[in-house]
Amino acid sequence: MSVAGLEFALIILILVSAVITAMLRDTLASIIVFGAYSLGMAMLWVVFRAPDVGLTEAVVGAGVMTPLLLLAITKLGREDVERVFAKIRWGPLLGVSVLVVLLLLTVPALPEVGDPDSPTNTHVAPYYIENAYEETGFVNIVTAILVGYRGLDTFGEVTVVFAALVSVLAVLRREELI
Amino acid sequence: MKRRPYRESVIVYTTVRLLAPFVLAFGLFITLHGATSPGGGFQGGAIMAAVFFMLAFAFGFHTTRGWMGEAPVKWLVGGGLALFGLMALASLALEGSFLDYHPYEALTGIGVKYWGEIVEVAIGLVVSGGLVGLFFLVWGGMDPEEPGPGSEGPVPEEGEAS
Repeated sequence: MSVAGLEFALIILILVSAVITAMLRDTLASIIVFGAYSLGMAMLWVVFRAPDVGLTEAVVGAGVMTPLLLLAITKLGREDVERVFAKIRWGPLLGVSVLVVLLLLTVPALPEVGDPDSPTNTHVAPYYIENAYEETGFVNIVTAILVGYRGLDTFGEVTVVFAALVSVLAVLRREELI
Repeated sequence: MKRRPYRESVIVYTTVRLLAPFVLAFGLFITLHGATSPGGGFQGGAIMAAVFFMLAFAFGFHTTRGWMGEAPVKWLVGGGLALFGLMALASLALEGSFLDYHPYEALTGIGVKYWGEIVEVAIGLVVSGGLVGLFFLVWGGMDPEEPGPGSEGPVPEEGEAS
């Protein structure tokens, strides 16, 4: 199968699982289909040659979010549902469709994927590509940028993880984690 | 629908016991190998946290909580952040810039790459500890029938007749 065909198949998988996730009435079934959606996204990132993002999507989307959501529904309890899919409400669907069409209209204005003259590829990216290995010794340029050139951003992200945990503790009014 | 009580499943139990060491090793590999292959602290840390989720689902909440205890999560999250901060700040003492790893190379002769790896490990610690902590908070945090060891159950609203 050609790469374009594979991309097409994955995009179909993602779109179908996303719609089913939104439509299913049973929360457990919805969570399972959401896992399939994450898997499709992860595979698409790998096809787009972004294995770091693909790995993150697979781990966080399918590996971490699914258990957390499952845990949440064991707390909430499941309702008996008489119908598999929710009723479609046409008003909101029309509104969302208009928004999607408007956003899709802007897509042709974006530079082509991999265009060497696009703004993202003409500022700092050439410097990173030319100097990352010599300056950091990292073969994986993503890591070189993550902990080297953009180390301050990463420091901020890690602080956000820390702050998230502390704020959940504060919201639940607990002083112990476990 | 009534919530069904938790029952141990032999299939889940056995699969988790077989898989857990390998998944943990994969998480460590991803964390430590971020410099040369896809991955790094964020992904590796999340995989290591997922191992813990697997164990918790297979062996039950109380057993896993008993193994883990409170302290490791605190030390993972706080220690990881402190390690990252130390790596960022110690450079200033060696007349480098904030988050610059080159002074360490000049001081010790060990390549910049390995100092960056320490930062990756620090990220992995914070992410794995943070996710495990959130998992336990979601699990035990809001259930009045199953309060954590330090909680006094739900806090009553002020002025509520009791």
